[in-house]
Amino acid sequence: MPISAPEPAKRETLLVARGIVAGYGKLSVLEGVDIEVRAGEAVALLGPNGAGKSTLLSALSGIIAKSAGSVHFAGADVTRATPQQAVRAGLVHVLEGHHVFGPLSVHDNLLLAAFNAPPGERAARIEEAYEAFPEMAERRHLRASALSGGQQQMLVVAQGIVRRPRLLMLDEPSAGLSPVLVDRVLAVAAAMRARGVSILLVEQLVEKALGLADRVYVLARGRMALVSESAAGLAPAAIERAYLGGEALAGVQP
Amino acid sequence: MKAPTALRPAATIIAGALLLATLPLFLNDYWVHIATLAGTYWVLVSGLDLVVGYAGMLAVGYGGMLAVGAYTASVLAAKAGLDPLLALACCTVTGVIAGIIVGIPGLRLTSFYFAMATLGFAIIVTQVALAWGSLTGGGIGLAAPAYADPFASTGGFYCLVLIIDALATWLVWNIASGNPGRALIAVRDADVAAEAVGVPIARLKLSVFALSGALGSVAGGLFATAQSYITPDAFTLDLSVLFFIAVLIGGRGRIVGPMIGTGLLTLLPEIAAPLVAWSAFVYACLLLVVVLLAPGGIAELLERLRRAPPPIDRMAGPEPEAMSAALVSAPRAAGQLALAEVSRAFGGVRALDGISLTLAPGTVHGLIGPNGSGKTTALNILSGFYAVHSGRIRLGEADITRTSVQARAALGIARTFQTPRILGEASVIENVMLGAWRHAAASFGEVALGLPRFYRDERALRAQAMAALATVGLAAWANARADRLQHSEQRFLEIARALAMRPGFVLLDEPAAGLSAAEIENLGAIIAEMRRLGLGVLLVEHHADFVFRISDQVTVLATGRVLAAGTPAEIRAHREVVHAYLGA
Repeated sequence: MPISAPEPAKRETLLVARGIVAGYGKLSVLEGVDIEVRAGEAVALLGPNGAGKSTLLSALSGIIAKSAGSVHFAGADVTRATPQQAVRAGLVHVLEGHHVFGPLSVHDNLLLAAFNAPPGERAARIEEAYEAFPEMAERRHLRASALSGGQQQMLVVAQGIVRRPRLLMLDEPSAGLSPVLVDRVLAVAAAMRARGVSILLVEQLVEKALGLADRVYVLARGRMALVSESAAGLAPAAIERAYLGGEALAGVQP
Repeated sequence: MKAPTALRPAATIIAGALLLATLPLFLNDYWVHIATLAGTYWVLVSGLDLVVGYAGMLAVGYGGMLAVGAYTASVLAAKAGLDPLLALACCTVTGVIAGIIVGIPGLRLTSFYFAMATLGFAIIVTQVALAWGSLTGGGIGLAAPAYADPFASTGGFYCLVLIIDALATWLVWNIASGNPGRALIAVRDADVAAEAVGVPIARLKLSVFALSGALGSVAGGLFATAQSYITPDAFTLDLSVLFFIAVLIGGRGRIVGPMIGTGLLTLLPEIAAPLVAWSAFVYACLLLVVVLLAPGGIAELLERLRRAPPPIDRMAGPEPEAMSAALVSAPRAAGQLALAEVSRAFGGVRALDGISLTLAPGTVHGLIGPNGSGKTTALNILSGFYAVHSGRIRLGEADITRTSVQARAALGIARTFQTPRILGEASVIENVMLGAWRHAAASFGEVALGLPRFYRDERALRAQAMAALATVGLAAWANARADRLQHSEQRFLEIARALAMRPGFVLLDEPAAGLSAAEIENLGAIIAEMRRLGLGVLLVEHHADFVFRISDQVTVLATGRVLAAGTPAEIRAHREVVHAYLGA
């Protein structure tokens, strides 16, 4: 039940990154990566673990520094933007792992996520998140550290919603979620896309990701191994081949 | 080309020792005195490094240890007429006592509260010295012991300090590089993981406090002689701060860094004499600079000089056939691990409501259910992290309901965590060797003194850990820092650590979360081998197809109760399960 959307090619480009090189200390992970996300589309970023998917998201949102390349978001150059500036511009990154504020209540966690919102708008945004995840509304006074792992993952996604992104980057949102809940999180993402929010999804459940995505990138060994303009015709087997293709590509490097 | 790189550390140590030993030949007495002072401080800081740098305890008031030792040596020499060297040896006794006194609050208090307690200790010691005039001379003070030849001259005393420095560094080095050091880092960075592998945290902390107290007190004995006359005023708060900061700017979890830090902080006020009155200010500035520019301290700066780590092949597959070597001896069949009618509530919420579950050796038991249904709570109860409110836990015939986490680890119950708990600053293989903690034969004292059993342990544990790493496909990473691993690789690292415990039961909390399809296949092969070797595996997991494929039994939880239990085929056909959990 993917929601049909206008012709991909006709949409304006929201995020353009060119030649991104980034890593940790002396260890280089990304070796010149290009990626594009258009307004109102969902893009899946796939690849084996260790390929650099999370590193790419962190480089885009300004959490780690880039040693080369440029990032433009909504027409503005955000190559050197701090994570705070990126969030204010609408570029929201939901990190892998359960990064909640443990000692604070669920509600306070969401209030913090609405930090940049106009004060009059905060309540409405949080209501929106509660609508998507009624489990969170039931537990609004509970400390986040008392939530189960899967519930913390839900809260992290809810925080992403509250930030009201123009581009929502989700890193492994399914990790720790039950099958029913994975479908619900992806349905929430699909509903956001229907309202014009762009989605950039990193996910190990390849078939689920293909079910949501309009377009697909496959990253392998720090380089793009596959760019597909359509997720519909793509077989998981082709993706697996691209995983290996990245290996061959890395093999010719000096 | 291997020999030169292997020789380099030894050559550096010899060159450094020679340079230090010959200092009196080309420096005047004043500078030899300063070097003596730095050496004296290092005796204390080396022990404090174990407490602050390795165990991560904010022990600020170690100037108090210095005072304990200074008065022990001086009182015994001046009032009891003891030989100064014998008096110095007696400092270890008072030091161990003082170390344990400081350490006991450290078993309960954390971070700042513990720091306050240690500061209180430093103040109490000087106040007692001030008030107990008949013994300590009160504010008038006491003459310090003077050593006989060959340690009588400035240069001779300096050499005595150097010898004790070498001894202290040797003790601390052994502790840090052996089992206790790994366990201390675990206590600092992942205390639940330390508990889960069975580290007796309280005993370990007290041992380290006793050792650091002894070293601090011996340093005090030397300090008294270096000053030739002591009064309570000599043990200022500035000294306590100096010791603490020497460890911080040196770099936690390292030895060479704090050593350089101690020398630097001792020298600094001497080089810039007008700054002496400003020493606290200078220390504060130095600390700020370090925190901002090199959070890892001097040790990190030294490491930056080294070459970049070589790239490591991420595609290496696991070798499940290596598992039997990792487990060393065939796991004993301790009978079944069982929960009987177990309940547990948090606040008003019933997380578990009378669940029963049996885990048999040589089987895989899948535990699935919606988020928040109590799966992890059940796992925490089995491994002993949560107490039950009602019901029983049995291992074979034995009732282990009230048994501690550490004791359950000793009974062969190993676990992994939903969010991997690894020691990021330690190497991959050290993380695994931590798991084999219980299988080391050498005591804390044997490790400190570097007795043969310590080296035998290290060799055996390292071999076992390599086998465990090969099992999960991380052998190539053995010497890399663990925080270089991907999230998914950290999950496999936790499994290797669990195997190093040589367990009878392994409890896996969402081992497949965030793993790619290929990695899940590898995980399946590893779990199948665990079963073949007779381990009982509890698998908490959301990848339903995976669970159904490799489990012998499946239990489904929903809101803290057992919704269904049976074979994978029975569960797959269960209507409520399909509705509540699987979707479709």
